[in-house]
Amino acid sequence: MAKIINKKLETSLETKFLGFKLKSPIINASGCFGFGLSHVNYFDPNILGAITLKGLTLEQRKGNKGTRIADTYSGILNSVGLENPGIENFRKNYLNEITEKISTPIIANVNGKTIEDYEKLTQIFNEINEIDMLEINISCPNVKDGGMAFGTNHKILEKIVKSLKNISNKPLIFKLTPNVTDIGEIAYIAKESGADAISLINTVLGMAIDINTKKPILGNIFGGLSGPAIKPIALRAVYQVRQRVDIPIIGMGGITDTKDALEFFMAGANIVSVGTRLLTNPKFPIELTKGLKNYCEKNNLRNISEIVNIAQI
Amino acid sequence: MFLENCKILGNKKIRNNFYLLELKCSKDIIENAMCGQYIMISTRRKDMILKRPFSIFDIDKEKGSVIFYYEAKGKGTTSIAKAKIGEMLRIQGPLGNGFEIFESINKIVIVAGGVGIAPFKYLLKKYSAKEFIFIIGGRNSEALEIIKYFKLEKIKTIICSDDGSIGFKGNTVERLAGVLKDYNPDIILACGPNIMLKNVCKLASKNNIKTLVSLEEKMACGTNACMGCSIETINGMKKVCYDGPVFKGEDVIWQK
Repeated sequence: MAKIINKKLETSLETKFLGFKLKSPIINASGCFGFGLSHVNYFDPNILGAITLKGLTLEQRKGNKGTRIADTYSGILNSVGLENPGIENFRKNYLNEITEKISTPIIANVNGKTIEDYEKLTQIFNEINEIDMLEINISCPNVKDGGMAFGTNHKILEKIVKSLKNISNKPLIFKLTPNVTDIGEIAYIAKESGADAISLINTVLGMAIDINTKKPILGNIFGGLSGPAIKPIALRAVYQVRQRVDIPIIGMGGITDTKDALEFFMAGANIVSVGTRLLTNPKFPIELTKGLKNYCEKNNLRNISEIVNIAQI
Repeated sequence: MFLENCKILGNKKIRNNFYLLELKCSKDIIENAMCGQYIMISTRRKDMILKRPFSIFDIDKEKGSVIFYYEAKGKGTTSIAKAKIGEMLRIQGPLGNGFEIFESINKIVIVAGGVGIAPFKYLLKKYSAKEFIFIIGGRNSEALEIIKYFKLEKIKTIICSDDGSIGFKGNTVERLAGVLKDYNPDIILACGPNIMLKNVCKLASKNNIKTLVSLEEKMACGTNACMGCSIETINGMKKVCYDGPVFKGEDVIWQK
């Protein structure tokens, strides 16, 4: 009689992404993790596959005046307005501490008002070896010019992707806004123009009014909605983008537990990014890492990548 | 810095919408919490994802509990006000920098407006050896019912209310002006509405007196991650959740 040996399948969360071997397909979303050291009292940032820095601009920015956060059902509205030290100040005063303490790959999030801004920043980052990849933010709804405007106009998008691809010595991820008619088309244009990867979604434009003051709550009037409320929109967008492109996708938008992350992989995301959840459960990456490992073990998967795209019809 | 589920030992309505919440907390929190710090508390509502920041009112080291004084104003705090003894609340903290008063500082004037009185109970306990003048203001006598929970026998207390139903009729800044006519404190501590803090600082600066103010801003993360609560200071943008909530009044660039 043959002996049946129960062999436990070795599972791994290791994920190949743009030439890097990430230890996990979990990263953080820009703007919810400072410069990578905000949560050291809750978890080791190096458990993440990569970290995404708070958005940087050429010049120092104070950010928006007035209230920047509004609480709303199953989400938050933010209008921070890209407060940041500016690239030179960042380089002089923040980069050292980050590179001392962060060993996992680092993604810088790049913002500008004009194409020239993005080009200049990309040039400067060429000289900063400690940054591994750039996430080009053409989707921020909280700044007056640039940002989202770039991600909604097809001609400008093509121009900016081609130009930055021509300049950069690092892989480029383009972050898309959901505030468009056809996000699949936008992703397709970005990919055709040379984007190495697509990350989506940025926040959904929204607002809230204080009925006592009878005025908008946010100082900037409008803000970006994030959190559980946007998950169905984000998931739909990832699914649509996957239908149009075969380059890697970073999926984000309302991921609150392991099940949510699984949905994003199945829709087509290779990497999942966690933002708002870091604000409401600062230990979430630990739980998510465990959750994904457990899922792989229970379902006999060697790697989580086996479920990527699986829900595509 | 700690994330825990804490049992409600008490959630007593003081008057109108003012409550005293008592939570059983771990040794970690009890031993590490400083006066002026705050703790973020979940609203119990599944549809409200942000915790709310609550000033630490008092700590009972024997019982192992932290007490908060709060006003049930919006959806979140109103939900917390409905919580019953025995229920568990998820909390995060202690957070922020607290009030640190050096040995050389001995004559202190406190200006507390409305629910801004909250951080001073624990502070008065901790610095009981120092000399205080305690100016307390509020809308009316009901809003100031909390004064009964303070041990003020050895402290010079000046009470005022908007409608004159308790103490002087008028506001705390007017009372402060009166005090400063013949009293020269080492420092003024203040907590309350922004307009009050701004005016306290103006007055203090005219008299060359240092101030420490406890600010409030809408917060999301509480951990210096999101920049939702930034304020402008002479040293650049600072976070109320992490660099504060206590700031030197002289450093704050007040918004209109």
